[in-house]
Amino acid sequence: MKKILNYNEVVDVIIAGAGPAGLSAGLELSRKGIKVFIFEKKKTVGKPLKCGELTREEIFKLLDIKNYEKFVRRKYFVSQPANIVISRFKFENYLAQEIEKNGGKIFINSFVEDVKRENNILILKIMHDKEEYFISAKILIIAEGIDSYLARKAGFDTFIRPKDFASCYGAIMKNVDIPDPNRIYIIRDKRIYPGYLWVFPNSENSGNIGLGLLGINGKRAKFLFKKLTSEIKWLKKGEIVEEIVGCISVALPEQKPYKDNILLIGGSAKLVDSISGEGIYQAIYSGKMAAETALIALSQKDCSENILKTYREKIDFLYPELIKSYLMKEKLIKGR
Amino acid sequence: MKNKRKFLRNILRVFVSLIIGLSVFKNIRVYGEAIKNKRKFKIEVNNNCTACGGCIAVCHTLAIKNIYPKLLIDKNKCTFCGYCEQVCPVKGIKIYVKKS
Ligand SMILES: Cc1cc2nc3c(=O)[nH]c(=O)nc-3n(C[C@H](O)[C@H](O)[C@H](O)COP(=O)(O)OP(=O)(O)OC[C@H]3O[C@@H](n4cnc5c(N)ncnc54)[C@H](O)[C@@H]3O)c2cc1C
Ligand code: SF4
Ligand code: SF4
Repeated sequence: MKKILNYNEVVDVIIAGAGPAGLSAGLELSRKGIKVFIFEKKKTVGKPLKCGELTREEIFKLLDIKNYEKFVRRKYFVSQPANIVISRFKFENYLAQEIEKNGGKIFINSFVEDVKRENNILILKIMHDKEEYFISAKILIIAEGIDSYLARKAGFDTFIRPKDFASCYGAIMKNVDIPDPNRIYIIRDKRIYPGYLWVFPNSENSGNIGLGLLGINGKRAKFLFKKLTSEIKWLKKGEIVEEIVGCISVALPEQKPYKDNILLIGGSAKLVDSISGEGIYQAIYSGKMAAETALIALSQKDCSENILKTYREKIDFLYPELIKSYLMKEKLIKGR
Repeated sequence: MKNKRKFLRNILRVFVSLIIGLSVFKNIRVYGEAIKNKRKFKIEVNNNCTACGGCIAVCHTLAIKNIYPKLLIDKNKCTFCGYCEQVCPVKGIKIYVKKS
C-alpha cells in the first residue's frame, strides 16, 4: 500500500473508506479495469474490529469468491439468512489484496476531509500524515460507515438522533462455557431494553459477545457489558481477547443516496437493520450495485444525478425490510 | 354547585400550566446559559476513546473530526449539547464546567 503522490490526472472513481462496502465496490470496479483509488483513514484495513461478524453465506456468491472457507469462523444451522460468522480482518485484507492485484490502489492513513464540485469534476481534499493533498475524480463513492462526516460535508442530511443510535460494546472472549455452540444467543434484559446482549460462539469456549443499547439509554455500554456478563453463569469466567467498541445507526435508510457525481453506500447510507444490527450484507450488496452504476455512468460519460439515480432502483429491494425493522424498533421504544 | 366545580377545575388548570411553564422556563434558562457562557464549558477527549466514530454522527454542528487514531473537536463550532457524551459506549468524551 503506497504513499500518496501528487497526482494530476483525473481518477475515474475514488472510494472513501475501506470497510466491506468500499472494498466490494472497489473489487467490482477494479475487475472491470477501471482506475479506482480507495482512501482509508486507519493504519490497517480491518482493524480495530467493531462488529459482531455474523452475516450471510450469500455475500461470497455476490462477490464471486470461490474458496471462502478460510474466512468462516463458524457456521450455524439457523432458519434466518444470516448464518455464518466470518473473520472480517481476513476477509477485508483478502479483498484489498485482490483489488491491488487488479490494478486498483489503496491508500491507508489517508483521511478524505472535504469534497467540492467544479465543472462536473470533484476535487477532494485528503489529509495524509498531517499534510494536505488534492486529487480530482469523476465519481466519489462514500463508504465511511457510521461516521457520517464526509457525507454531510458533501451535502447529504445524514445526522443521526440519539434515539436512532445504538452504542455497542463487546469482545472476542475466551474461557467461556457456552452451553450450545451451534446456535446464536440473544439475551434480553430490562436495563438495556430494547437493546440486547448477543453471543455468537466460535467454539465451545470462545465467541463474539457484545451488547447494544440505544443512545437515549443514558448508561455506558461498557459498564453494562461488564455487569451483565458477570451475572451470567457461563460468561462469568470469560477473558477478553479483543475489545469491540462501535456504534450502529438504527435510523431509517437514506431515501436519496445519490447526488451529482456522488454515491452513498453501506453504513453511510444507513443501510443497517434496526433490529438485528445486520449491515455487512447490505454494505456489500450496495457496494456492488454502486460499482455497476458507476460503470454505466463512466461509459456514457455522464456522471450526473440522472444516470446515478438508477443506483437507488437497484438497491430498492433492501428497503422494505429495513423500514419494517425501523418501525418495529420505534414500537419497542414506545412500549418501554 | 356547578360553578364551584368549574372554579376548582380552572384553578387546577392554572396550577398545572404554571408548573409546566416553570419547568420549560428553567430548561430554556439552562440552555441559554450554555450558549451565553460558552467559554465556561470545556469538552475533552480522553484515552478511553477508540475513535470508533459514533459521536461524529450525532454531532449536529459537525464539530468533531475523526483523524484516526484521535478525535479533533472544533471548540468554536461545539454548542455543548451533550449528545456525543451521551452516546459514547466507553466514556471517551466528557464535558466539564470550567472553574474560574
Ligand atoms: C458493535 C457492532 C456489531 C455489529 N455486528 C454486526 C453483525 O453481527 N452482522 C452484520 O452484518 N453487521 C454488524 N454490524 C454492522 C456492520 O459492522 C456495518 O453495517 C458495516 O460494517 C458497514 O460497512 P461499511 O463498509 O459501510 O462501513 P465500515 O465497516 O464502518 O467502514 C468504513 C471505513 O471507512 C473509514 N473512513 C470513514 N470515514 C473516512 C474518511 N473520511 N476518509 C477515509 N476513510 C474513512 C473508516 O475508518 C472505516 O474503515 C455491527 C456493527 C457494530 C458497530
Ligand atoms: S468519544 Fe466515544 S463515541 Fe466518540 S469516537 Fe471515541 S469512543 Fe467512539
Ligand atoms: S457537545 Fe454537541 S455540538 Fe459539541 S461536539 Fe458534542 S455533539 Fe457536537
